[in-house]
Amino acid sequence: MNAPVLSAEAVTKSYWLGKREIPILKGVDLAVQRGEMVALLGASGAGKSTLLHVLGLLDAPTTGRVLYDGNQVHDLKVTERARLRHQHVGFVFQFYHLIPELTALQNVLLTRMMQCSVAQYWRQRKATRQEAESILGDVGLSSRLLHRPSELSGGERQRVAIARALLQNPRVVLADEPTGNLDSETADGVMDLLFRINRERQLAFLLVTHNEELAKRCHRVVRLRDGVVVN
Amino acid sequence: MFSWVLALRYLQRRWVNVLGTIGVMVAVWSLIVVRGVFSGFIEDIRADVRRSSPDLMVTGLPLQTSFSSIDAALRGDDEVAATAPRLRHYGTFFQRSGGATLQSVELEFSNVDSSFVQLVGIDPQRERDVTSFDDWLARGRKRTARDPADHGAPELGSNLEVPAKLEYFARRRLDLSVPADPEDFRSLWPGLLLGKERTRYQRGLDIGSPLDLLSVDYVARAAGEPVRAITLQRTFAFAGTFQTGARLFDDSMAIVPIEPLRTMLGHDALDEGSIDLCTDVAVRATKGLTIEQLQTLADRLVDRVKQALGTPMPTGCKPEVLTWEQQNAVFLDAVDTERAMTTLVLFAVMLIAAFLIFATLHMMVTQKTKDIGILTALGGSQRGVGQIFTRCGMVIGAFGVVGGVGLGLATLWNLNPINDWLFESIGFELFPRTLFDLPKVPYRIETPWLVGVAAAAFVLTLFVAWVPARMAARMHPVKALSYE
Repeated sequence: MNAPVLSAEAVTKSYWLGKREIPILKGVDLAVQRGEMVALLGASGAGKSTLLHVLGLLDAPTTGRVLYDGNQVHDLKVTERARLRHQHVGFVFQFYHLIPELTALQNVLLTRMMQCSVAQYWRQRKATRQEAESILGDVGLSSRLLHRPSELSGGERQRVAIARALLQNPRVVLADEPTGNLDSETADGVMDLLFRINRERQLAFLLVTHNEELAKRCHRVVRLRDGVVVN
Repeated sequence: MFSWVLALRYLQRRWVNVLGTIGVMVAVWSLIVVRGVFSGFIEDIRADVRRSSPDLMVTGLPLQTSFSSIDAALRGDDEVAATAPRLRHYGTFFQRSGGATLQSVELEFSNVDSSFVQLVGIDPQRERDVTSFDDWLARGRKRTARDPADHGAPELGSNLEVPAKLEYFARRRLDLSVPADPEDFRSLWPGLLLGKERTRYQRGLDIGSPLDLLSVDYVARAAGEPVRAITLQRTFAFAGTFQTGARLFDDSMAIVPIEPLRTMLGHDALDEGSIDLCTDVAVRATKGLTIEQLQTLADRLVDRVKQALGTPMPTGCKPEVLTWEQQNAVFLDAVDTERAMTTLVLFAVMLIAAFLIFATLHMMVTQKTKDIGILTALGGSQRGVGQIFTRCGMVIGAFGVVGGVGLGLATLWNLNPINDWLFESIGFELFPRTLFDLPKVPYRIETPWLVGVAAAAFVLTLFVAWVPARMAARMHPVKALSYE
């Protein structure tokens, strides 16, 4: 059997407020298989976002291990973690987090530029552009390629963010309340898009949400309460 | 790659960064222009100072020193090509006015508001061998656009005296006794040369006009008797003007033949027991000696002079041999210090520009905190994130430096037309030429300085960009993403 694309083993995470230790995650075990769509449910302050940051290598666990495809990754050097994050993980945030100075197309292309030199990028610029346009077309934004984030609606911005997460063909997408900032109709549209991508690309998703209805549509639901997985 | 794209995009969308570019540009421009003009001035000043001074000057001699004894000692050195005596004294001048009653008024030179002069007694023949004396006279006679009048300085005799005819008519104008026939008249007054600038606006000072010198000297009639002051008086004829170009020299000196001055000071050549008195000896070294070689020669000559003077040396007497630079050390050092101070002040302008860049980039990092978190989440390395801001600094610096150097060179190349245009348009001169008596504003482009300023400005810009860049690179991605 293949190793999970992403797993956490006895992960804890604490913050220090002066001399007082505040535990956020208290030994989380979690595994996400290829093509699996996992919903991470929990109340505010349960540690969902913290877990997502630890799994995305944006933050280090206090104890425990994070593994990508069965390989321990949390203790790698900063540059290695950045490279791995670029290749293995795609992020989708609640507030889209697009670069306001760039167009939709440039925001997507930016992902490819991250680990490329000018010369490397120049050689593959046409193919990359076609790829980015194709993905933006997939998420229904063919006509909005040259629009800046300020010229796009909330739903469109989130689609750009999804397209940006997909360009590098990641193994897993970590989505932090991707519909939390959208009205229900737009949110449904975005979720439909995520499920379609999951089906078509066999891409693993770890979806942080408060929405029980949405969670039910996922392959599996993981509940987090006070830093502990409860089911 | 992403750091270049984002750096350019951030700069394009933030015009406040143009202020940084303008700041660097102004700093580089001012450093190049001011230094260029200063260097031009200094080059001119050094050339003028050099022209006014002999290679070496023996000075600090005892009061009653005979030139021939020092001359013999100096000529013993192979590197001494020529020598000339100098006799320094001082006094005030009175100008006669004609009319039924002969009157005499203190002559206040218009540009220095004083009648005081330092007299330099020279032997014109020997002086020609050690300095550019003929050139001084030629420059003194030269007409300029601002001073078209021909002063008509005539050829001078060995006593610097003007032709007898000129003196004859000058005497007649003043109702002084003269023979009926000008041909029977023989010159009585030794000539006197004044700096061209000193006499530029002087009225009634014609060639041949008598100038009465009033001076004092201290004498002891016999050994043991107290020293007392005596007044001395001598009439000279204004023989023309000289110009070395060194304003300090030209404005303070009056050149007279050495013999009349010696006579005035009690050493008439015809008197028994008189000496060929001198206070200094000007020396020309053999050609092609560098300033360091001149210094070595000076060190050798001072020993020879001390030997010639014998021991013990009179109290307070300290013979020295000064190179032309040392003779003008105070002035040259002052000019150099002024240049250094100006440069320092202008570097402060560059520091202000650098601070401006730091402030704008720091502000940019704060504004872009969320972007930094996003970029890290997308796989951007710390180095790459930091490079966005160093590249911003690089672009600001490069534009500022290139613009500043270009503008600086263009300004220097067109300095005189700009100065003329300003004067003609609004009556304002950036560099008043009357003040410096220069036909055009001098400038000198020093390539090492140009390259140094450009490199320093660029490195400074990179350094001030590096500080906010480091801050950006060290930002924790989770904190950056949650920054509000």
